[in-house]
Amino acid sequence: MGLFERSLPDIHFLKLADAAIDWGRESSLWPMTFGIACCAIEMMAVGASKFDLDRFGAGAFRATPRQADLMIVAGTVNAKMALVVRRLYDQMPEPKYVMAMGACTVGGGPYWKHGYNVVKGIDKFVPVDVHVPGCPPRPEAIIEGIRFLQRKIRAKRVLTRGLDGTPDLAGVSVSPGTVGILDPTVRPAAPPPVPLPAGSKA
Amino acid sequence: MTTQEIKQALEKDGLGAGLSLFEGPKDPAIVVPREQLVKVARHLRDARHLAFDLLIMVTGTHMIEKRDAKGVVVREPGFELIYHVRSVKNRALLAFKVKLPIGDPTVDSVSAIWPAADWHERETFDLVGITFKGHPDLRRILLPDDWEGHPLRKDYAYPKAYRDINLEVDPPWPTP
Repeated sequence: MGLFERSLPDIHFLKLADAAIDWGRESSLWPMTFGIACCAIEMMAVGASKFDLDRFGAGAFRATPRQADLMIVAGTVNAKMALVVRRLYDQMPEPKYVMAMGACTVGGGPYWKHGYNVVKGIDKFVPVDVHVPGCPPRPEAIIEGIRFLQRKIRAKRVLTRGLDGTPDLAGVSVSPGTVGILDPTVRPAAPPPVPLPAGSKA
Repeated sequence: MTTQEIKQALEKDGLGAGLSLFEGPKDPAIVVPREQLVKVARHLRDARHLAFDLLIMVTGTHMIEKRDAKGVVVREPGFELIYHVRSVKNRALLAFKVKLPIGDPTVDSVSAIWPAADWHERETFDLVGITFKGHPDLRRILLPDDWEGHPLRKDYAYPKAYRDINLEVDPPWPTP
């Protein structure tokens, strides 16, 4: 479902424009300066000089949701905070992306059982693009999550999406285990097992 | 000053009515009847030989009924408030307790004596549900104002949702 669907016989030029648009979007991800709990320390570390998130175009932390593309939810979200997180998400302009950083935002973490006021995963109230597990995740893990998100943005193809038979990836959440759906050449399917010759030990 | 000496000093000053000593496994404490709380607290702060001018913490606990091996009740259900106060001048630490019945968890506020008790009592009200009479602003301090129940009570049922935020576990908790 692209903008110019079936209006042009050849989508080659649209594909070129798509590559430029997606490249621009993936290379200037601006996260929001927004940390809730201890994961925010690692988020600050990844923005500082040692790990330097600016190498991937995602180091310009904005102090307002209206200038941000990416919300890194770093920390435990309780019921009182969930309303704030959702309001911040609603204030971000499209296109917007959400990274669930840390075990608490992925699925409740250590508060999974006895946290009476902790939301067990922020995907119960905002759509999540990338899950980064860990307690807290290492800065390298956050960089990996950013790289997965950039791969997802690159595959979005805003003009020619769905025109040449490739799957529509809107609304698909990626994690390190599901990267194959974005780029099938990254992890080729395992070859079928070779049958053992008769009589050999299994 | 040990807790025993402080209790003897209180008795000497004419405030010994109903006081008893709690000899716990760790820290001893003076048990004060709840009608005497404000009087004893004011004396602890103002008397020059005591001078407990710093309130460290206020703890509220919900105690359930406890029986020994023969089935005899050794502890009635109820609420306990534990106040820790410190004397900077005398370099002493004191804990004193107030026991409250389960049906009527109300006690007089000490926030007029130690202003630090203001937020401590609000937190105790928020999480344990003990009402402090005479508190200037007894609202919830941690949980939202429209939260139902007091989470640190033993009979608290975990909420399924807050407004439209789902608080349940997905998949649900395994039942043993």
